Amino acid sequence: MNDRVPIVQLDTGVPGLNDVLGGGLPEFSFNLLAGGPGAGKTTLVQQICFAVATPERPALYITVLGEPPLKLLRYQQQFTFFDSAKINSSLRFLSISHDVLEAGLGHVLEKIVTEVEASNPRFVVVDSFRSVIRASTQADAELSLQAFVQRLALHLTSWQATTFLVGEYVESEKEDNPIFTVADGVFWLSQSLQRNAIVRKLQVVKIRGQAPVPGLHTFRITDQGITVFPRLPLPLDISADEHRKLTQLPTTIERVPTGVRGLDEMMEGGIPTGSSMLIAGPSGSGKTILSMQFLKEGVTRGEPGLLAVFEKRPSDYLKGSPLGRALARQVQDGLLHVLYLRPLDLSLDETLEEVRTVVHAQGVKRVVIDSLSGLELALAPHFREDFRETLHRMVAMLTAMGITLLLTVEVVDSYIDLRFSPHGTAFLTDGIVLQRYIELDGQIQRLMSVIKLRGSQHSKELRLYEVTDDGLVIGNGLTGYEGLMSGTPKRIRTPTRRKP
Amino acid sequence: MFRQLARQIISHEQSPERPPQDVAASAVRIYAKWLTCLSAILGETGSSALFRRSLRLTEVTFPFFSAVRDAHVNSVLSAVSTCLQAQDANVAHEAAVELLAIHLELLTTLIGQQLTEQLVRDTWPDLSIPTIEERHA
Repeated sequence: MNDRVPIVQLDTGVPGLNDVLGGGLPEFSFNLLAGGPGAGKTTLVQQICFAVATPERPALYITVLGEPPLKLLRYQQQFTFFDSAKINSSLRFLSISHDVLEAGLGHVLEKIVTEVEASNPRFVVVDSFRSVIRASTQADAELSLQAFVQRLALHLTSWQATTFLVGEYVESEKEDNPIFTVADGVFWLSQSLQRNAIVRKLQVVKIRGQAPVPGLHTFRITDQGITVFPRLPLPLDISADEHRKLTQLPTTIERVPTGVRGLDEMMEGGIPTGSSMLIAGPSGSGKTILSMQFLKEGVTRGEPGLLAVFEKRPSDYLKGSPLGRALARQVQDGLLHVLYLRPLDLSLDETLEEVRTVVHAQGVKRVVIDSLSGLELALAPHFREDFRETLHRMVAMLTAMGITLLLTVEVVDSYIDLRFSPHGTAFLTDGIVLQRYIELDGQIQRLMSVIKLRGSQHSKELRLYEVTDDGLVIGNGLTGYEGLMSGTPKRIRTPTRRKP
Repeated sequence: MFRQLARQIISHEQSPERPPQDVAASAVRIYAKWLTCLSAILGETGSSALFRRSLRLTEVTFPFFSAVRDAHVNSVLSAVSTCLQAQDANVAHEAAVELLAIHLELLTTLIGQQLTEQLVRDTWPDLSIPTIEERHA
């Protein structure tokens, strides 16, 4: 029999935060929310407050010097989570006067304890706790800071309150500040500026009683409030899925036809289901057309698709070709979904979350990311530095979800070396299709080849192809030439036999 | 709209046709009750600053409130009482209504109508104040 005390986890009301915390906020925990000015501390704690506060679980929001309550009420109500109906019923605000603060920590403790005992809140916030500490150093403190924090933590937990102390702290204080020792949970918010982009991050430094997802998680503040994008979404699901896959290895490989007939023949019928394929080629070589055919074929087979575009607006993207216009109709019919991610300060986690949401909601089976160059550009500079890692995580997560993923990448035609991606990431995908231009008989021609396709005896042919209004039309394999990959092939001369 | 609400609040705790001393006493009682409620949320400094600003704005219609300008922060209400007592009962009543109306209007510009009315309802639960939705219906 398991007689461990159960820890109730509160729903924070912050999308993504419960996952990071390992399920939710432990009830009766004593937490510190720290970070620099403008990091989003008050917004985060208010969002949690409004989510948690109910008539049965009232909340008390104590303001101390920091942001004046008048401004707090004015600005926080711009967020959709702000529910004025809860003010003074489920959520009560209390402003601790300057006099109490100046009288020292003992008086502050007494004030908080009196209020808590009088109103029995189940959720308490002290914002800003830093103001309390600053005042304590000014007053002749009869109570040490450590003793104050310990008594406060003990009292609030005994009174069955889940608590957040909010304050501005710098990294160096993590080491020797007694609050960090006493707190059950420490949440750290930060924002970093690189070139013109700001990236906000949250770290759960510690949380007693449960396992949070480690590392720095990006978050975004919108009019909805804060959304956290866990760094490693569904880590457990992926490993569980892998275990299931190992025990149920299929005897045959299921394949997803691309809709490009000749290409499918070159790949034993198509791309293996749940794998990733990189389409690499120079500008105008037909990567986007191939992607559109892949999605159109999916819709024909009842497999909903998702197109993630970064460079052009979806309307511009689809209006350029008859194939695109056909796809636009499928978008209108809800058979195909388009994700347009344009901001230049995206994090990969945010991109993944957007893709994951659509995949789950719409039962998507095929995903196209057009293009990696556009994705790289849309990411904040901070994330571009780790683009290989970024891509690895994205491919791993999407394919683990059973998605067949097609990524396009623009490569400059170089005839002195063979590169499949400017990012050095070609090894991350299960397959590579290379498109390139060659000069043949005084004309620029397009050539396609399947470079790799894991688990498949794919064609090694180099095949000419045409880009038409209906899509790519693959021609025959090009034989009788040498130096095709150099861009200027020569016909192989068959040695003529001399007559004896 | 705020005048109507202020009149409703003042009338709730004050009967008309009384001497100005009574009008002043009940008006100050109303302000004190309201400021106590507001101070719990905004802090004493915040609620006091808002009230002093309201007094300044009310001077346009009732210039006698300028006498409160020099009052110490802790004796503003007693200075208001003195001002009202010096007026005719009807004028005192209208000035009390105007001051509260302007104060509510000022608060609304800062924290919104919904929240302001929510706080009024919390302070005078017996008052029947239609919600914004009810008013639009």
